[in-house]
Amino acid sequence: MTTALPIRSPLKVICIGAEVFADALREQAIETIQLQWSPPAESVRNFQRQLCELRASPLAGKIAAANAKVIESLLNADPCWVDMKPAIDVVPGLTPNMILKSGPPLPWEQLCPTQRMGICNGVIYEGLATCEAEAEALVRSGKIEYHAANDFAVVGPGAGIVTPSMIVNVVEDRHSGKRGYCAPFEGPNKGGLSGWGIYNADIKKHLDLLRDVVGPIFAKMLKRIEGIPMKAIITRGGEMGDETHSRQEAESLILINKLFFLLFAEPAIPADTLRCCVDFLDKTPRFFHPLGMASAMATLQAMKHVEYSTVVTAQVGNGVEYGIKVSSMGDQWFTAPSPQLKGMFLSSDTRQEDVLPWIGDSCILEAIGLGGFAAAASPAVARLTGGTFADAIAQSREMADICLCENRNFLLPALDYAGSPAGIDMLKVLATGIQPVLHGGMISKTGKRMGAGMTRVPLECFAQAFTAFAAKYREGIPG
Amino acid sequence: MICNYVKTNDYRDSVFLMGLGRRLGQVPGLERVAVLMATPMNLSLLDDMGVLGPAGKAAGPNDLIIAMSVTDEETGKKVKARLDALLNEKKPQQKGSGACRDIASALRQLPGADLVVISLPGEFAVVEAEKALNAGLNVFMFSDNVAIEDERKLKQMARDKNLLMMGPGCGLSFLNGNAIGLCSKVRRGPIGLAAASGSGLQETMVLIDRFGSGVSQAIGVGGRDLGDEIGGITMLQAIDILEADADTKVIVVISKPPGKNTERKIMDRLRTCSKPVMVNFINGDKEAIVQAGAVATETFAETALAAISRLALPVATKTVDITAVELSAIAAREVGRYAPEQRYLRGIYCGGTLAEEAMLIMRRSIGEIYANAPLSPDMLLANPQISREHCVIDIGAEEFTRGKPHAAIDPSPRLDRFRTEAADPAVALILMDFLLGYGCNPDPAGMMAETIAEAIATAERAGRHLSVVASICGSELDPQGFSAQKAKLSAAGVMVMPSNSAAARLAAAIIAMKNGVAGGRK
Repeated sequence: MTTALPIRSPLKVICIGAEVFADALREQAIETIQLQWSPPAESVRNFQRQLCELRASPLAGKIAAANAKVIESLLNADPCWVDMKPAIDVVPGLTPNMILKSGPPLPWEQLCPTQRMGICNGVIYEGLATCEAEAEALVRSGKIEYHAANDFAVVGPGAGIVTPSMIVNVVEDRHSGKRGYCAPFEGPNKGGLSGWGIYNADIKKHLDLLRDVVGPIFAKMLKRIEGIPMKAIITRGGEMGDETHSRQEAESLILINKLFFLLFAEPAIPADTLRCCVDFLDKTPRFFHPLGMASAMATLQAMKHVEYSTVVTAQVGNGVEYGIKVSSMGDQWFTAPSPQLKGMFLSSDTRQEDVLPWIGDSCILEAIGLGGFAAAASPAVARLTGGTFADAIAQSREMADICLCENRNFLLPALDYAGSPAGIDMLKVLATGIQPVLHGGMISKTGKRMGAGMTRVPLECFAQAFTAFAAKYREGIPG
Repeated sequence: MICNYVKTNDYRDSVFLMGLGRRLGQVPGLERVAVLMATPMNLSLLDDMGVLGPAGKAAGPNDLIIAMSVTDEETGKKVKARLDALLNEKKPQQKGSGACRDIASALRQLPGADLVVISLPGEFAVVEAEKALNAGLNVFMFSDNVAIEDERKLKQMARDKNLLMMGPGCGLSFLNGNAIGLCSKVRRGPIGLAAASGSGLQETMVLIDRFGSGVSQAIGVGGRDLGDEIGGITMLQAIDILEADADTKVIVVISKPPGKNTERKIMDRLRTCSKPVMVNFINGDKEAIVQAGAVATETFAETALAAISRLALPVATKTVDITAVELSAIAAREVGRYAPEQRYLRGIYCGGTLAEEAMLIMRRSIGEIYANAPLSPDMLLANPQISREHCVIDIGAEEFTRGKPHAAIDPSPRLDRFRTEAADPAVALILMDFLLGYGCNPDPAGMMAETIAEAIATAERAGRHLSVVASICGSELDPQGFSAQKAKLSAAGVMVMPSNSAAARLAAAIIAMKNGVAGGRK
């Protein structure tokens, strides 16, 4: 133990409280930062003591080591688009009598109408029922099961309906071997069955085409070139104004550009098949979005199940409840009422109360530092959510306060190419009361597109997760 | 009815257009309006919304379409006119903030920061201090009202991490030449201080400077550090630091009388200390100090002088003190001018320990003194707002500062109190301290001077005489400047003494002589 004064020269100081102390230091030309401190939110105030004790306990070291390991996985992830197959062929655990949907699990009666309709339409698409009533009876009888897509490493944006025969993109993290799955967007059919739970002859035709014609070609092509790395595309997109959740304009163009070359280089495609593939690329807005989401999912799969880790590994909603998962707590859900979005409406007469609370799994992107966390990448999205670019920069900086690292893979030009903040630490959320920001689309309670906006993950999810975490590891704290 | 207006080849991006609806506000007769580019996708959306008419259906993707459902055509025109205006409006730019909300983000903006200054309410101060220590940062905590067990925990934690936890209740530290807290800037020199009393530390520091030497480091440890509940955790660290510090030749330790067990610990430590140590335990037991081989001192002036004397340096003796002869001469002059009923002394202090030092000196010659923080419990003022007989008020005590800044930052409560005391015909003399330094009031002498001069003049007109005696706890290096402050007070008629103890001795000599008590210096 040394006994030197533990203070270096020149002195640099952080001041919290009355600004007179910071002013006194600045007057001496001492570099000083005055914190814009405010008392922690009432909802997290009760946790401050426990967090203090936790940080001083031997558990703190174990948590830090575990989180470091999780962050390693996050930073080293190398998601590649490797395949396109019917879900039943590639998603482990999925059986022919299962329908997947977005958000945490929820009893049938509590599901929002959009999701209930989507599940029934999924049953119909699978040919297991001919009408909604019949489908619902099958679900109620338990003959057809419905599950949270996230529990199967599947991302379900919007209603998040994925049926066994529906085609999914397969993204594999080459570093860990973990996979994430997400259905491609349904071309001209707006949200389609997967996103908005709707179903009709056009949707069936399009889904069948994807499965029978487009999918096999893409699968073959992806196999031939041994997958397409996604990370580099997201990196470039970030430099071109995409935050990869509400906007993937550049990323879609980069990928589609590449796919055209690949398609035309692919040997022996019949002309009409090639036409179908090109049509699919042309008519699918936000083509990259499902691949960004599947990339996030593959990355998060590699971050799960690390004992003692407090990093968030899932955050998803179903229009009624919002749920998170935390690495050390495996697949346990911590839920709270789903939050309402605020933003810009397509139509002037839209009322806030018509907007469905957050639905969909797309916000797992935020868990790896994209979307709301990478707000500083996208002036366009800043406007979309009703703010200024300066607000967006402040938002990314704010998110850094609850994150464990800067994601070096996704750089933010506006922050002098700092990495976007990533790795949400539930302990930091509870210590600061800062809630993770989510960017997303708004749909109405009746399943219509209403606009775009943003919201924040409820603190209650983190409060529950912390309580469970403390209960699990309490015996681990000696004394 | 459905109204569609098409503006051909007028491209606007969809985000901008989505904002229009909200900015349009309420228009009577308007049921719904959407403004979009007429892409096939948007046309189908408009159709879903039930606002697509024949004109809109004919529009192409580069055309802007205003589609609405209104009660009548007039309303439609009105809405269109408003939207046209909005379409041509420019939006002002706004600024965002990159403010730091927590220690971790501040550290990212200021790498290498290693000190956190905390002045939050107690419960929050503990949490932030704990975060700082966990992040490897030293803490200076001005806040008090911290639970004693929290204080102990924080100090133990800091010690284990080889960090300093200065406070809670730490008024100032002077580290590597930097004034931290409400602190004077003094010359650097060979004397290192560790203190559990803010104003005691400040007074000793400025006197060391005024007497011609300087300070290597001055470490505030917080008022409760030497109580047995804490056991001198930070004081022992500070002594280690000062002993190891090559620039420190003499060590000064200042505290209110420590707890018995803690005193033993500190003395054991001092016994093995390789450097000379001066100890001022403000009215504490000297015996143990002497036995530990240290020098026990009583006043802060004495402490400063004793430390300097160990350095074999020339002392600026002229500034040091006032002689007994000078005291008697001033006392005789003042006493001759009082009205017969003027007999009492009133002290109004900003520095708590300075008030205590003054009372300890004065009670020897003028007897017990009433106070809001008295030397003996039976001299406690029933109402701190109302003085009686000889009386010393610590205006920095909680009952005066609740909800307000510290008296060193805002000494304005003292103005009213001064007027009240000066108007009391039984009062002969008012004694005060003036605290200078960074963070302190920018002109404490200036804000009192006029009031003092007026009070002295009013007393003269009423056939009385008011003596005002003061000392200035500050240095020439302070932003307020010792000499400049002294000049303002002298011009107002204040007798400015070179130290608080000298001021107290003068006040006591005058009052003792007036009241016919054998007084002055022994």
